[in-house]
Amino acid sequence: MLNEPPTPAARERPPAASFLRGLAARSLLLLVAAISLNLLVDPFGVHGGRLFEPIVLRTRAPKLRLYEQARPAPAIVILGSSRSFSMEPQYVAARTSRRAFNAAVAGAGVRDYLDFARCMAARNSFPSMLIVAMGVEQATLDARAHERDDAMTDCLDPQKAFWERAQAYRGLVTLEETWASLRLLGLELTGRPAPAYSFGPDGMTRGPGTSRLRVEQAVDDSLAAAWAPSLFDRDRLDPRSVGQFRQVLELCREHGAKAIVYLPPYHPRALARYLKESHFASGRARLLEQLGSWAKEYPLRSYDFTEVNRFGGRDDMFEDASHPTEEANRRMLDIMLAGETQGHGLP
Amino acid sequence: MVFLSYSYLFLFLPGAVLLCRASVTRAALRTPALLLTGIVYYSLAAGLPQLALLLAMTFVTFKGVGELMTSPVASRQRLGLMVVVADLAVLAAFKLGEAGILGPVGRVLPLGISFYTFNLVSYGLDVRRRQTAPAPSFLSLAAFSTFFPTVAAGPLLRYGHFREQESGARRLDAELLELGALSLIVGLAKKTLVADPLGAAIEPLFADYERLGLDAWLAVTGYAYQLYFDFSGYTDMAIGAAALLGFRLPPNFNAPYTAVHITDFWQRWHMTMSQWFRDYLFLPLSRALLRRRPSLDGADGVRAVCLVFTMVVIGLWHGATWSFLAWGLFHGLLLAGHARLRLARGFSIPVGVSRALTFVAVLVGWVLLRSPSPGMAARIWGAMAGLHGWGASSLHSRGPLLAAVIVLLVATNAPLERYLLHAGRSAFRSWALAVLLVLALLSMGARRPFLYFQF
Repeated sequence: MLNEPPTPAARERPPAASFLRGLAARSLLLLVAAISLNLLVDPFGVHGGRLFEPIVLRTRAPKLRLYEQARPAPAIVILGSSRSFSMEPQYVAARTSRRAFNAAVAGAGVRDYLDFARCMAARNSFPSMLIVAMGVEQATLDARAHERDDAMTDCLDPQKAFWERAQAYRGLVTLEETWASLRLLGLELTGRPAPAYSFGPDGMTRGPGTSRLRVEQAVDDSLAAAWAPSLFDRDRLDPRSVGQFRQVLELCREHGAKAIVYLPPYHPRALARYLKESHFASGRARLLEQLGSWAKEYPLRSYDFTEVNRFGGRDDMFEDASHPTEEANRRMLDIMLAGETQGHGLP
Repeated sequence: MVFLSYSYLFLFLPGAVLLCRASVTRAALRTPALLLTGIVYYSLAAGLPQLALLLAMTFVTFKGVGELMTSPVASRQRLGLMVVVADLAVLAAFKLGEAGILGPVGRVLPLGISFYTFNLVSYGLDVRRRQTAPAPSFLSLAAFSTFFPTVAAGPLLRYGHFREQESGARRLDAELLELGALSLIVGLAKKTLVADPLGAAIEPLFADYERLGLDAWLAVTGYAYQLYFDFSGYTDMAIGAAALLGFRLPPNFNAPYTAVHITDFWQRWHMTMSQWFRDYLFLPLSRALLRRRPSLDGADGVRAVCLVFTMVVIGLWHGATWSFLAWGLFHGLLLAGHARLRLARGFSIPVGVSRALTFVAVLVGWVLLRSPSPGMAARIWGAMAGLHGWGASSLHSRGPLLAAVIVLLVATNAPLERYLLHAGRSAFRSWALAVLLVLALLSMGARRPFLYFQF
């Protein structure tokens, strides 16, 4: 019996151990392939491969890099969200004879202002003036867009532990990054569209504007989505945002810098809805009250431009419910910088 | 540390397997090694205070059952009952505490308390009935109650079955290793590739349930599959981990959504729990009632009452809230109704129709489990009945979810799972499993907790 040859069925069926070995080898092969793909393509631009342009719009790291490259260091820095993208540093420079930089980042929260201010302080290049956009939504919410941002983290925490640095590579083994790598490769093969916008050396946004025909539609669209009245559901200031802003002001005082804070405008149609359907009015009142109280303590002055008549604006000076055009920004700058003109050339 | 973490899959599990396999040939080390893995797992997953509670309950049960065996026959009944009541009282206190009925007491439900309490209760009752021998040592019973593959969410075990494998020479062959590895892969894939994305897709629908119309069917069907793939995925991972240690666990699911009637469904869904309640509640209660209350319309009446009562208790076992109670009552009434129907002669329905009706009945029941308030359940049922039109969303926006649900409807009715777990060892199957494993590992970053951990 012992010497009987195995049956054909038994011969055809590989042993379990060999099947498992094959499965392990195939799994390992696939895993290594996925990791290599993500490392080489680097779709989010975080591993430093740079074979391809990253697939996502990133604003924090590029702005910080541009700021560090600016020589001499800018004397005036604009902190804001995408609502301040069209605030021109060149216009500021022309009005003040001082070099300016636009450090506005997409989906900014007060935390981003604090991070950027800390980085400037850490690089010993704190400006003499900050122009800070402080929307009511930023003061009542502690929210900001999530953006993978190793450059900012490196600046704020250069002594980062090895394990924390290794965490940045966690994305290599995620489906999200693998899918993005494949999409990016697909775009490279089929021809990728031009980026929506990019930033110049002074941080100013370069890109196509919104056509007039589309603006009314854009207001409706933004009111139905990210800029719905529910954004102003809270009538109290967020304590974390307040605390972070106070730290920005502390840094200004410490570095002998002046802070000009303004409440950016909303499209009149959007503002009417906010005033009617949300706690916008009480949120704004509390913010103005807080700014007034800080003005006694810190080198700060503030302006409320939430309504277009405060700066001589019009409802056609918007790209959607909350993003003012360059012309609107110029008018606000004219008011804010009145009396800031210096008699000599750029420093 | 939970099943879905790199630390579990790549550190703890391999370490536990190596330790248990190394100790399997040394009788003196077998139980301590197993207990050590259970203690380490539970303390990492739930913390030391919860581990202390688990071990205390195990100790009380061990001592109580020990007394039972040495006491006179006349007092055994009472002692056995005391042990069971003590265990169940702790469970009930935490369930009521979690529901807020006991004020601030016991607001946090210890991990797996519903499962390990039932394991201990079944041990006490089995010894009392002389169906199994008492544990030879506290270590052995503690190894059973802390058995890490099942301690968090089952499947429910019987001590006798566990002890046979724990004390005997466990089979540690490649076939069992294969079953373990493949069950782990299939379970991981069920959870990360099906249950979690499905949960994310249906969450906005339930969050905005007041706008649901007939698309409520899509939301509820999605939830049904999320629940199944989540829980059966967990079970597969438990069966896989146990197989790697040399244990064969009882199956917990058998294609439940292919059931042809509601009794069939309960023979296929969470089988170890159904069997537990059948053996320790339904049958003893039926026998007792038949003896004492013959007036209850004979055996059929007794069966109906006991079915409804058992299902209500099953509902409450999930949590002391109105929705679990209503869900249990709903299924109890369905089971009692089906038992009546089966007795009616000349009544038959084509298999396809009865399968569809059963699925619809199960979906109607799941609405209760997904609704934190009676108002929400009523609103969703109304939407399913067509009282609120088509719903606010367009078919276009629900397209991907609809496609996923249709694929799952087909997949769960086809023997796909059996193919992945038990088909021949071909290169194609090996590649299919490798792709599933890698996709599941890549998806682990966005994981959600297992739904059944809350019970």
